[in-house]
Amino acid sequence: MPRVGWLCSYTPVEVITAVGLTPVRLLGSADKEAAARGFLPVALCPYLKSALGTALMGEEPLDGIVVAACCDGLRRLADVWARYVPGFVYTLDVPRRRDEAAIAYFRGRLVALAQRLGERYGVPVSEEALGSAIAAYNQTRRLLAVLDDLRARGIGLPAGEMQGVWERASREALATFQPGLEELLARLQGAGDRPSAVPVVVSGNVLAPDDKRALSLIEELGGRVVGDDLCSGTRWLAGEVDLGPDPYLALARRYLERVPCARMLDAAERYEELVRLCRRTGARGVIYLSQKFCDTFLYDFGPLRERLQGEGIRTLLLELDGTTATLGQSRTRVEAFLEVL
Amino acid sequence: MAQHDGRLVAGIDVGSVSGEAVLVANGRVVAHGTVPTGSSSRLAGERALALALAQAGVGAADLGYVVATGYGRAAVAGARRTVTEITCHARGAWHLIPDAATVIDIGGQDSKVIRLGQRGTAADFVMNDRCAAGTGRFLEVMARALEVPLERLGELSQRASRAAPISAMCTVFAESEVVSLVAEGVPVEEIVAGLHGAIAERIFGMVQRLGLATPVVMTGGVAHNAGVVRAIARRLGCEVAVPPGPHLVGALGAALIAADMAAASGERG
Amino acid sequence: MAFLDALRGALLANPRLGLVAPALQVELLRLRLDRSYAWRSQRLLQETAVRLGLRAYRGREPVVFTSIMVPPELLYALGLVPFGVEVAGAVTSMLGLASQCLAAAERAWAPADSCSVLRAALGGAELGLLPRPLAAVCTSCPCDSTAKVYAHVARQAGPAPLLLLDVPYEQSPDAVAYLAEQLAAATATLAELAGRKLEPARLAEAVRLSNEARRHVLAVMAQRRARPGLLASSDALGFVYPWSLFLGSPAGVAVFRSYAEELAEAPARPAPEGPRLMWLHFMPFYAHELVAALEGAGAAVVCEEMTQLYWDEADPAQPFVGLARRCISHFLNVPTEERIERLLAVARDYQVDGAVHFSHHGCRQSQGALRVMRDGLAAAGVPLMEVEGDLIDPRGRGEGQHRTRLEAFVETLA
Repeated sequence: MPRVGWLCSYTPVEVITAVGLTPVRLLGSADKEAAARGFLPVALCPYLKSALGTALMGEEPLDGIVVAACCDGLRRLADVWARYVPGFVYTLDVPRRRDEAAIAYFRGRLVALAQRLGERYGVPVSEEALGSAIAAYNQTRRLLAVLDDLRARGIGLPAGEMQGVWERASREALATFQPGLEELLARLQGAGDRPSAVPVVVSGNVLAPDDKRALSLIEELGGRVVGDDLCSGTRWLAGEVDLGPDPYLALARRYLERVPCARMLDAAERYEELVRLCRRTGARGVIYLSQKFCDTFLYDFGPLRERLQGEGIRTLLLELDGTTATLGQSRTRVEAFLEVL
Repeated sequence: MAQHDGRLVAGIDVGSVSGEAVLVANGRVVAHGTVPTGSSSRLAGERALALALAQAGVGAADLGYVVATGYGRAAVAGARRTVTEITCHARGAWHLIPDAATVIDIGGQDSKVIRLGQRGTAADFVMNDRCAAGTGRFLEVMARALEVPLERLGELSQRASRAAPISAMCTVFAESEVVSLVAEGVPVEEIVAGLHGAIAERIFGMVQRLGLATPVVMTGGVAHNAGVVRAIARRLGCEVAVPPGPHLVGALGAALIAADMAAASGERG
Repeated sequence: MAFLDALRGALLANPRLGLVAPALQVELLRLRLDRSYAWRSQRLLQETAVRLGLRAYRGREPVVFTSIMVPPELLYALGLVPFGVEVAGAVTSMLGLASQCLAAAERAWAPADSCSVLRAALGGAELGLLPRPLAAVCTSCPCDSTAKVYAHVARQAGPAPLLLLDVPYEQSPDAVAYLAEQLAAATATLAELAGRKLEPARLAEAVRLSNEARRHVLAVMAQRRARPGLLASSDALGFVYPWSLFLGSPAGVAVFRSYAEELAEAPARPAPEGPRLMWLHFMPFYAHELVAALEGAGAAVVCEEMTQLYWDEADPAQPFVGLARRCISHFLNVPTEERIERLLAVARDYQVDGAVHFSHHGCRQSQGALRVMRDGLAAAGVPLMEVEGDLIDPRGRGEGQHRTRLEAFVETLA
C-alpha cells in the first residue's frame, strides 16, 4: 500500500486510510538533521529539520506527504519539501477556532483532501470507507486510553516505551498494530504496581525518537511519567470520533474540539486539562518538553506556569534539539526538579 | 586532634573550576578543603576530601555518610548519594542564614536562582547553563581581555564613577565590545563596572521569572567579587547577603544532607 | 533628537503615561514648522502617525490594539483609535528603549529566539508603556508569535479581551467567507464593547475612503516604476504603517494623495546605471548602512516586496468580503512558490537585476523557505543575497561583514 507521510497531529489519518493509503508519521532522527542544512534555516524546529533530512537522504520512501499547515515551520517545510523531495505535497489548512463556522470550514477542507487524494489514486472515497477508517482508529484510541489509564495508576510502560507505542501507532497499519497493543495490555493488566517514584506529567509538542532519551532520563533520575499532554502522544489520539451521518463533519468536530494544541485560539484550555491530569494522577510537577524554536509552545510556557503555580504544581522547561549536549545540561535541571518535588 | 562524638559526615562539591569538601559534625563545620578541578572530577573530589580530613586530623575510616554534588558529582568515588547543587546550595545557605528566601549561585559554568521552601529545601529554581554570560567563566574571559587579575575585579569596580554600558549578552560579542572600549580609552574600572552590571541584569531577569523574595543570599565563587554583589543588590533593589566562605556553600549543603541521612538511619560514623 | 528624548522620558516617567500626550502634542506643533523633510508627504505621514499616537495616549477615546493585517476600516467605522503593537515594538528601537523592553520580556518568560519586534512590544506592555486598550484584535498571520504576544499584551495593558481573526491559508471562496464572517462578528463585538452602534453607512464610507487611498497608492507605484530610485526604499517601507493603521480614514487618503502629487511634481532624474535591486522583507534600524554599502558599490535599491499593492478595491456594499479578501491575499500569507511569482512580476516591472532578503532573527515564516526563494528567483534571472540580522535589537549586528558581502554581491551582478 502506498505510504503517505504526515507530521502534525491535526492531520486526518482517517481520510488518508480511507483512500487505501498507509499514513506514516515522519519521525526524523538527530543524525539526519545535518542533511537538511542549506534547505531549512538553523533556527527552525529540529523535528522538521530531521524529517526533511531523512527524506533528502532517501531513507523514507513515500508517495507524498500531507502537511497540516498548523505552524510557520510546517508551512515552510511544505514549500521546501515540494521542491526538493520526490512525491506530492498536499497542504491542509486547519482553522485555529473551534466554533461551528470553523468546523464547517474544516469539514470542507477534509472533503477537498479526500477528493484530491481519491483522484490521484483513482479511488473515489466513499463515506463507508471513511466510516470504517474512523471506526478502526477509534478502536486504537480506546486501547491507548486503557494504556494511559494504567499508566496513571502507576502500572504501565516506562515513558520511553510508551512513546515507542505511539510511534508504532502512527506508522503501522492498524491491522498489524492493534493486536500487538491488545496483547501488551493483557500482559500489563496482570502486572503489579511499579515501585514508587516521583510522579510527573510531561507536556509539550512533538517528541522525535531521539527525544525518548529525555523521557528515560526523567525516569532514570527518579521520576515516573504518569501522564502526558504531547502532540506526539496522548493529545494526538485522545477522544473518539463521534460517528454520525456525516463522517467528514464528525472528523472535523473531533479534531477541532479535542484538547487544543497551543496553536489554537483556545490554547488556555490545555492548562485546565493539565490541572485535571495532575489531580487525576497525583503528579505534583509538569515537565514541559518543547522543540527548540517553537514560538507557539514556548510563549505558552509563562502563562501555563502561572496557572499551574496557582494549583501548587511546579513546572520545568526543557528545550529539545535531539542532541545529547542539551541532554547533559538537562540532567541537572531534571534532577533538581525531582528533588524539589 | 579534635574530638567528635561520632557522626562525622562529608559533602563534596566538584564544579568545573574547583572542588570543595566540607566535614560536618553535630551541625557544625569541622574542616574544609578546596582544590582546582583540573581534568579529573574524581581526583578533584578525592584531593579535596583528603585536605579536609587532614585539616580535621581524622582519617577516611572516621567518615560516615558522604554526599556528592556539582557538575562532577557522578565521578566522586565513595559517595553514598548524589544530590544536585540546587538542593545543596539551598540547604547550605539556609544553614548559614536561616531566614534566607532566595539564593543566587553564580558558578563557573552556570548560574542559578533558587527559591527556598521549608527548612532549607529548594521550592523552585531557574537555571542558566546555556550561555556563559552571567557566569564565572564570563568574568574569567573578560578579566583576561582586560589583563586584570580576577580577584581585583571587585575592588576595581568600586573605584568607578560610572559603569560603561555593555550591551552584548554573549561572551564572544561582549569580549569584542570590551576590546573596543579599551581602545576608546574608557577606564578599566568603568568597563569592569559595566561587566558587573551585565551580570546583574542577567540575574535580575532570572529572579523576575521566579519572583523576588527577600532576604536574598548569594553563594558560589563569584560571590567573593564584591562588585558583582553590589551590582546585583542595586539591580534587585534589595540587600544581598554573602555568607562567609560562599564557595563552600554547595559542599556544606551536601554535608548537611549527609548528616540528615545519618540521623535518619541512626548510624554513627 | 529632542522629540525622541522627550517621548522616551514621558514613557518612562509613567504613572499611567500622563506626560506622553503632551510630548506628542508638542511634536505635532513642531512638525508643522519642520522644513527638514526631503518630502513634504513624509512629514505629513509623520504628522498623521503622531496624531494617531496622541489620540491613543490622550485617553479620551477607546483604543484598540490592532495587528498589521487587521483592516483598520472596521475601527474607523466605529470611531475607535487603532494602536499598532508591532509598530510600538519597532518604535522602542527609535526611542532607545529596545534593550530595556527586551529584558522585560525575558523576565516575563518570552522565548529569547522569537521575533524581537514583538518581544519588545511585550516588554513595553510589561513596563507599562502602552496605552490602556478597550480590546485587542489580531490576525493569526503572518506568524505564530503574533497571537501569543497580543494575548499577553491584552492581558498586561488591559486586561482587555482579545479578538483573534483566524486567517485561512487558502484563497478559496470558502476561505473568504469564513474570514468575512469573523470580521463581521469582530466588528459587532467591538461595537458592543464600545457601547456604540455600528452604522453600515459609516462602514461603507470607510471602505470608500480606503478605496480612494488605494487609487493614490496605484499612482505612487506608477511613478516609482517610471522613475526607479525616485523614492528611497527606507522611506517607501514606511507605507506599511499607514496601510495597517490609516486605511479607511480621511488621513489615509490625504497621505497617499500627497505622495502621488509630490512624486509627480518631482523633477526628472537619470535612471540608475548600475544594478537594480529589490529589497525583500523589512529593513533594520541600521538600514542606511546597508543601503550605503550597496550604493557605494554602484547598485540602487529600486523597489521592495512589502510596498507592492496586493489587494483590489472592496465593495462598500459588501465590506466584509472585500476586506477579508485583502487580508487573505497578503503577501505574507501565501506559499513560497506564490511569493516567488509575485516577486518576479515586481522584478519585471522594475527591471530588477538582483534581490536582497533581510532575514530577521526569529522570523521563521519569512525565511524558512529561503532556499526555495533563492533557487526560484535565481532560475528566473534574479540572484538573491541574504542578510541576517535583527530589525531592532542593538546587540551583535556584525556590520563589517555585511558590507563586504553586499559589495561582493553587487560586483557579481555588474
